[in-house]
Amino acid sequence: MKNENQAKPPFKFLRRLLPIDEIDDVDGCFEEMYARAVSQKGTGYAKRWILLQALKSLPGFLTHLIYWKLLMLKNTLGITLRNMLKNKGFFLIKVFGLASGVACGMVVILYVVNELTYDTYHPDHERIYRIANRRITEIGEFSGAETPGPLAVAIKEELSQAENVARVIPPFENSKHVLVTRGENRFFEKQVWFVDAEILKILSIPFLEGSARTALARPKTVVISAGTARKYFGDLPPLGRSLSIELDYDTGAAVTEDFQVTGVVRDAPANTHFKYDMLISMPTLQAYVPSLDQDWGEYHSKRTYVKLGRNVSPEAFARQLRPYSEQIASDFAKRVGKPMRLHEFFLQPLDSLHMKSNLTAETEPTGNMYYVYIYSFAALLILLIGCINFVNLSATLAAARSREVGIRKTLGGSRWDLVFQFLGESQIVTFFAFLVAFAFLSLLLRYFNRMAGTAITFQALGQPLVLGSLLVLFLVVGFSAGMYPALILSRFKPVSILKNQHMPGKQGNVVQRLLVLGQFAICIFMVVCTLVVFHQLTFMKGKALGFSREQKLILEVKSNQAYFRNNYEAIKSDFLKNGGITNATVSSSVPGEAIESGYYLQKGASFIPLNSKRLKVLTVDYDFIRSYGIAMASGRPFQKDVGNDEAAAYIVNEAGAREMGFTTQSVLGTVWTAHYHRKTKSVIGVTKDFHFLGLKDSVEPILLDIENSLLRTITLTLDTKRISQALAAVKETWAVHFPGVPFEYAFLDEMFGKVYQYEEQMGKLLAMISGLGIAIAFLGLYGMVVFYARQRRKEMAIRRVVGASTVIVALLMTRRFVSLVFLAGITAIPLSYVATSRWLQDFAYRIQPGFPVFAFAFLSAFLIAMAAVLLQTLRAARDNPVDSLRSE
Amino acid sequence: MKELTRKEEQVLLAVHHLQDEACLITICEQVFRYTGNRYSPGTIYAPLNRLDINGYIEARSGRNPEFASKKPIRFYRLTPKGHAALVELQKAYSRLWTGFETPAEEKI
Repeated sequence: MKNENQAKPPFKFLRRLLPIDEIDDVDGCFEEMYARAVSQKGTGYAKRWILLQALKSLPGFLTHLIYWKLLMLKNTLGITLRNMLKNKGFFLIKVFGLASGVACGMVVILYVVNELTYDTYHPDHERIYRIANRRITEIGEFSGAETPGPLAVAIKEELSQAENVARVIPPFENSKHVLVTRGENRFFEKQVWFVDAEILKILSIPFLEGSARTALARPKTVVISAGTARKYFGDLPPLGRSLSIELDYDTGAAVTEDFQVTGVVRDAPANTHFKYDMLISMPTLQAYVPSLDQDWGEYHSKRTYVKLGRNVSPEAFARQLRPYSEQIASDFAKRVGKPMRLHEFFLQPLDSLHMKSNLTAETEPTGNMYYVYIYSFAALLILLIGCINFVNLSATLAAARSREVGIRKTLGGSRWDLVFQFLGESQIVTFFAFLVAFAFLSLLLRYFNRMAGTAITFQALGQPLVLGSLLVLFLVVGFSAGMYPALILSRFKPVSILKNQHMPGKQGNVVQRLLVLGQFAICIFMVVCTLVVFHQLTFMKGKALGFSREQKLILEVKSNQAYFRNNYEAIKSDFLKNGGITNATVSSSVPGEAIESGYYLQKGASFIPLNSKRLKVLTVDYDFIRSYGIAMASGRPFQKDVGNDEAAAYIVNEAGAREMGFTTQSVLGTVWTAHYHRKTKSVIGVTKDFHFLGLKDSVEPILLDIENSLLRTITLTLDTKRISQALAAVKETWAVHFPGVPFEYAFLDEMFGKVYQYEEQMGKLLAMISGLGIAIAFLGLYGMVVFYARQRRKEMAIRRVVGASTVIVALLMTRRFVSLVFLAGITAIPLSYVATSRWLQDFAYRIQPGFPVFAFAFLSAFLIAMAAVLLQTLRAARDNPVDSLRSE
Repeated sequence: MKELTRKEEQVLLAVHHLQDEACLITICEQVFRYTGNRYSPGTIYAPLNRLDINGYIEARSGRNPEFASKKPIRFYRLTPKGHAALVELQKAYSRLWTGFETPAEEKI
């Protein structure tokens, strides 16, 4: 007895491997031989011996297994194809439902992978960091991706743990519109940077022409991307030729000079936070700003990237930066007379910059995890609807295959054999669905790219991460969609089937009905979400914003800014001379773009940052308030003929007055000094609040000041009747004042539309997804009803013979589905209420999703379900009863 | 009649000698006694199975009380066809070997 127990594990193993018909022959023999081996040579030897025996039978076992599995596969394939051809309609519904779900899933996988793999293509990216700073002063707390210029120099000279360090600096004021000229080719470039040559050792910027070692060593040299090279030089070799570039060196005025092209690099890929078209050598900037390497107090726009040595922890390195922080803090205290409460540098891993960093002075808008979640969730839902369709139709059709199952079981198929067969079938259908999904994908991607502003290509499918997730998706979808039907089908008892006692579909009913319920619940949920998004959008678009944005033509002055700022009155009056222009004004920014500049205001006649208030600032001219139709709450607007408003007057909005600590009346006449120009002016008026950035956020405190140094845009109000004529005239006047500068214009309401672009993208995406979801659910339900109607044909015929009318019979069939849709509504509506309220919380001005939204969503689902059911049942009920009953 | 291989011949003889005791293990031992070689059960099983299929021997299920295993084991015995084959073999051998004298130095 004891011996047997010890012997168990190896015997079990052996028994698994031996062919079934041989086990009886040899089992006893093996036990006897094992017992002998134990008595002669000990248990250890015996165990080894039996294991060896088991291993010896392995090759035979494997060939056997593979041979039969292949044979079964061939059979499964044949049966699957035969079933497909027999039920073409059902099969198409299954495949297309699944395919649309899978295609959505694929797009989202591509999108998510694109968002999450930002900057992972640089070699050693895990050792590369951007240095950012956090500082707390009397005024407040700041976190920025900026560093003082000398930091990189100090790290290079004093800290050996850093392998490479480099600065990246945009050309300050005109960084988003650098005018580049070569002969007739003049364009505004957006991605122009001053860089230290060492950046080429940190980031992967491969050279196509020229040499990375020498390209950025001398002043007045520029390295351009391949795309930029084509734009300016066409087929000419760009190396050694020159480009004329207008750059702002933060010295007050932009300077136009010739630069020599010393290198051509590959275009920046889509998934990097640092996009570049032109890289200008740092010595160029150093020549204009000699203090660049010395001034520790100046942060403006200077980013520092560092590549740490192997085995250097970022925390340890950040600790080494502390002495610099302390130095900066004490310098600040000496200069300003106030202590700096905190100053510290911290390291941000390169690959986290896109998704996880959101500081001031990012190089480009960072990704938003929120949208990644929403899009993933939406895709998951639609995938779920597709899978449910598949499950339901397969389970419904299972009834028709009960005989096949009966025969297979009688012939010796075990339940698990059948489960595997049906799982295999569902994998085959999933495979077809994937093929169709790939076809959908190319269409869908184009649409998605346009909506989400991404540039994902079909080629992105080749990434190992994407391929891996697609494989997982394939297996999960095939498995989850096939498991339930497989279990249902394999459960049939052969005896009852073959005796014809079987009531097909009975056992599956509860689960199937739950699944249909789920499908419709998802549909209702998505329709509510879509409606709420669109409702909120129309609400925001329709609500009065406190300023007029009709017929406004915006001209942004990107070049020759100094000339513009000193002569804007003359330029304005030249524009007004043209017919068709009713108003002209200049300002530092226009509605629809975030106001970036701000003043610290100190009450009284001098500026000591004691308890200053921060207000966003709009620098304007005398005509701004009238031109934009902004109403006054108290006081008066700027007026040329009353006193000297340019030197002595501020205007704030209502929120601004509150921020300053006064009411709209009491703030009038108070005197304030701004940190920016140290001018002391008094408040002469308060405007009503106007929503410069739309209704997403609440109104910011804004100060209006007549001050020419920040002016950047011209706003012309056009006469509706003569727009094209006016445009031509405007272009001529532009050419007079800004010769050689490309004429670019935009209409304010178009620009302003971009304020809500993310919400609109989401609305469109949700509309598409819920439309798709409803279509799939409709088809699935329709398929199910077709089958039920076919099964209950005789019942209906008998009812009609006995005297029921067509409508009554049809309603009888409909009843079960109607209750399902009601239940779906009851589950989905609270959920969607919670989800949409959460989304709406992010808006300062929002709608309250009311009864009509939910009623509409519910009704649309209800009507669609009714349509699916009635279409079929009415037809079935109208059939001549004789046709259905004759056969027996 | 098909000619038997050497191994089949040995197994067939062993089954004949062992009478009711003939099962895989005892056959292995018997063959060892004939030849002095320890063949593994697997080596013996192949000719045994072949003989079974070709109808020289027949199998039945039984137990050997001396064995440790309490499971039924296959026992084999000759069929008339198997017996005839052995008789045939003996005749063939005696024909083959008539007139052969063992060399003197190996006699001892």
